[in-house]
Amino acid sequence: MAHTSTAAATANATVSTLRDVLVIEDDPVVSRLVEHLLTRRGFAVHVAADGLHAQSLLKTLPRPAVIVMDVMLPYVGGFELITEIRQTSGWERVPVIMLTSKSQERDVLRAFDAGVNDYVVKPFRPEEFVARVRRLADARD
Amino acid sequence: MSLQLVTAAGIVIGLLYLVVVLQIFFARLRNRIRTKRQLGLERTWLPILVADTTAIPESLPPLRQRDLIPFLTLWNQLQESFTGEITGHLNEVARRIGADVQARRMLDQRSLRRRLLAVSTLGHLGDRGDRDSWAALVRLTSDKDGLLSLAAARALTRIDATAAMPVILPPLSERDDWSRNYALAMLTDLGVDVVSRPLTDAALHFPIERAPRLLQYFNVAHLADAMPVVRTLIARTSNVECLAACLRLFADVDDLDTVRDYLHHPSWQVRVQAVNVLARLGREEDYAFLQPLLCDSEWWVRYRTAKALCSLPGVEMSRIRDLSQKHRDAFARDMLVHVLAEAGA
Amino acid sequence: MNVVTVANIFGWAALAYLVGINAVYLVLNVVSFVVLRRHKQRGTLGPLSTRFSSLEVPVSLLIPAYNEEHTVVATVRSLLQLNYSHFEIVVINDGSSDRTLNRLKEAFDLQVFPEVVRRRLATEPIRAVYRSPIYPELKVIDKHNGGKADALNAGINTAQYPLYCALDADGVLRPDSLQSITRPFLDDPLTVAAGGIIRIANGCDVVNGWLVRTGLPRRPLPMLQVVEYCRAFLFGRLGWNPVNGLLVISGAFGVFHKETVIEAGGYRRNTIGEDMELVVRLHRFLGGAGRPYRIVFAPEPVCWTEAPESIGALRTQRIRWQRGLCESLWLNRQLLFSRRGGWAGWVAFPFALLFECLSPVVEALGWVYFGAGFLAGFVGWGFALAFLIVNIGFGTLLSVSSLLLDEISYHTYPRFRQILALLVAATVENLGYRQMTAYWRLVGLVHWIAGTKAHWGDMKRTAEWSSPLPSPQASTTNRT
Repeated sequence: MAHTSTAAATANATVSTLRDVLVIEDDPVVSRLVEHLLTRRGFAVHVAADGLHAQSLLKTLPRPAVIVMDVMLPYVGGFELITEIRQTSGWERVPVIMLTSKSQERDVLRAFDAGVNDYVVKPFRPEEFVARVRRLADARD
Repeated sequence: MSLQLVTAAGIVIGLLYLVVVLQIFFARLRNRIRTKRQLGLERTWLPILVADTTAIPESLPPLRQRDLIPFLTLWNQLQESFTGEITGHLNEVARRIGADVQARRMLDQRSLRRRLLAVSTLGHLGDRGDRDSWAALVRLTSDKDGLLSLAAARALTRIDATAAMPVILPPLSERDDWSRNYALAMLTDLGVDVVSRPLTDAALHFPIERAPRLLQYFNVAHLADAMPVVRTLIARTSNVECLAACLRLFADVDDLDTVRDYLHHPSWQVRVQAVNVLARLGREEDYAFLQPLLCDSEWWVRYRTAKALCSLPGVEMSRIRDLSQKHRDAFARDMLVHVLAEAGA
Repeated sequence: MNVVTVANIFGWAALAYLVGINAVYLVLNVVSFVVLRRHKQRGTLGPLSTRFSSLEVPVSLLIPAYNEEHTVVATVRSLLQLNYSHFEIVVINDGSSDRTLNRLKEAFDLQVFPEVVRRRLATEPIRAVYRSPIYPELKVIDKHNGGKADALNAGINTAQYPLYCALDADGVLRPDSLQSITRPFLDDPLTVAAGGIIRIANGCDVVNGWLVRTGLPRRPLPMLQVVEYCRAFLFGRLGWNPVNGLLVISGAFGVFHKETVIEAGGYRRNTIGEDMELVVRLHRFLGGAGRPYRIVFAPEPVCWTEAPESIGALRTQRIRWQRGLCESLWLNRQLLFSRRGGWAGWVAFPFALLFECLSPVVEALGWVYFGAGFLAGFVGWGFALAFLIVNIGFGTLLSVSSLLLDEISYHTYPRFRQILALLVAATVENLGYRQMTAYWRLVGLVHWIAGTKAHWGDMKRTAEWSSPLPSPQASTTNRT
């Protein structure tokens, strides 16, 4: 299920004091951790627990600064989602950072070929992960 | 039949019915309370556990007995999700609030959940000085529960990898109830350097019927250690499972002579593995060696042979197509047509 | 000894029987609960490592299809998205008279393929094998009509993997269903068959073949079936796990070890309950050969299936099930009390015979006896009331107990309104529904004895019960 966690209102799509991050992750433990890590750094985190909800969020959410996603997702796979994201108007250049347990070289290559901007393997270093997200969000601005 | 007795029975059943219905609502209530408590626990502890500095605040919130299991569950989830300096920080916090002592105590309790948590916690704490826990974990590797014993093995490898290898290799070679995924992840995390020698030595010196189970982990071993063992085992054994497991590992062109001998082994499981090796490593001259197997009695051997023929270097598709039309044996022709269609030719 | 005395003895016997059957089901429910609790505890450390998915056991999904033009394409599309490393999908078109094959051809660009089929089990002739250039894991077999068992056997002949999963063409799964149902095979190499929990799909949100949200059906008939499934097919079956006594694995969702099934002879043709017959035969075959084995009910995986919404369709289904049950037991009667039968032969089989096969007879005669006897005067108030309490009261207790277990173990229905509806249904279930199904089961038993030719019934698969969420249709149904 999708939910939002932030104190400030982010309903207004055009102006936002916080930067939005869309997290697409089906493991609730990981999504809560990522939410915690990013919220305390001033991001507004929206979570989708599966591919279908991610698809619906593509329509309703304002364009986020960064997308964090796994590749193994229920209902709609990660790579298919990336293609859809790149085809959604306004979202073509949103940076995507992949956070996944798939660590083999061919998985990484496939992800970069599909257009992700960064790749982090689980288990991960929390502060390094946050730094990578910030780097992508800052570059976007 | 006495009316009073029956009425009494009816009332009892009616009361039980009410009890059960109430229990349903209590169960939902309990669940809601538990979820709320879990969220509260996370709100309290996540900022401390996932702190951006390694400094631990002077006073930590107390850990209530009823929060012990949720806390340890969260703590272990963090340990599994994160790597790097933060794991040391997590250990410090755990020691400060006495979670390590609690974990040791939980090792002997009856609940499977508690024992699993205890085992996992001790593994992450990685305290080499704790000889008592080490001994307890060693004992648990022979527990009849497959998951608990494997989790204990993993914990041992996290505490002291080198000392753990001789302890975990015997059950690894004997037990059927150890999940291969989990065991492979455990060995891969240790790294090839730690695993290679002990694993290959064990495969060589343990009784031969145990070798196949160890052979399936051989890709976590250096080739230089693994291949001599494989060559020795294959020469020594006639056990079909062992032969097939050995053949799966051949990766060196120099071994092709040995492999070719097994193309005519009485067991089809062995023959098909030999064919697979030739599919991977074969040369053009293996065309002649493989061709007779197109008439093999076993479907799988014929199938793999046809595929192998298509993948041999220096063999043109036209040659295979030709064979598919002219071969004397109908089974062979059909199989070649099938495989050619799969290859899209 | 006059007729009344005999009738009274029967009355007591019937009472004792009904107490017995409910008590045994209660015990099964409790055992199931314990099994589930232990299973949950094993999940404490989270899912096992997902990094090395290549060590999952490859599975062939077999989907026999007869006149399933409305649902087969959606099912196949969703199955292609399963989270599993190595699997193939084999659809067996069993001589459909509608557009089943054409729909598949159009949707997946099927081309004829010169497949070499291993004829290990005898089947009706195969007309052609098709493969899809876009989806290499999809295979469609077009064959002459031969019934579901025959279609499955043909599927087994073409399956290339060590395990196969028999699926209904309109079954709805979750993305991790296949992983969950194959786990018993990884945990215990002696496993030869595993069944999955079947739940009612009516009223749930199904999007593109996936179950997205559980819900309850609106109509009373499927609602009653929800309660019934919970009691009889979930907690009533799971309890047999610890003793390896499971006699039924639903044909809607079950995984089998292919070689073992072939050794046992495959599915038996011209049987109505071919799914149960195979499982009972596996017990007989493996037990008789002295081979260690396990047949389990996997507590995790779920498959949702459409329940009949009309009385007529339900009636046909229940008659068919009872015939299938009797047939499966009769054909494998050697298992009963056989020397090496184990718990299956000494406990589960007699249980199925006594409590599932014969229960409609006892219930029906019981109603006749108590009803007529009360009216005629030789059954007193006490006795009649006892019958009602046991039949209705104890039965209701059992129904709500299974709801409690479902709440604790799965928390399937989170909304308060749903639980209320289910409680009402659980009560109503014993005030007519159970009696109605018992009557149909009696009819089924009589039919079987009389040897009437059964028919599958035309349960119209229109899939109207699935309520699609508004979703971007274009992008999800079009794969490039």
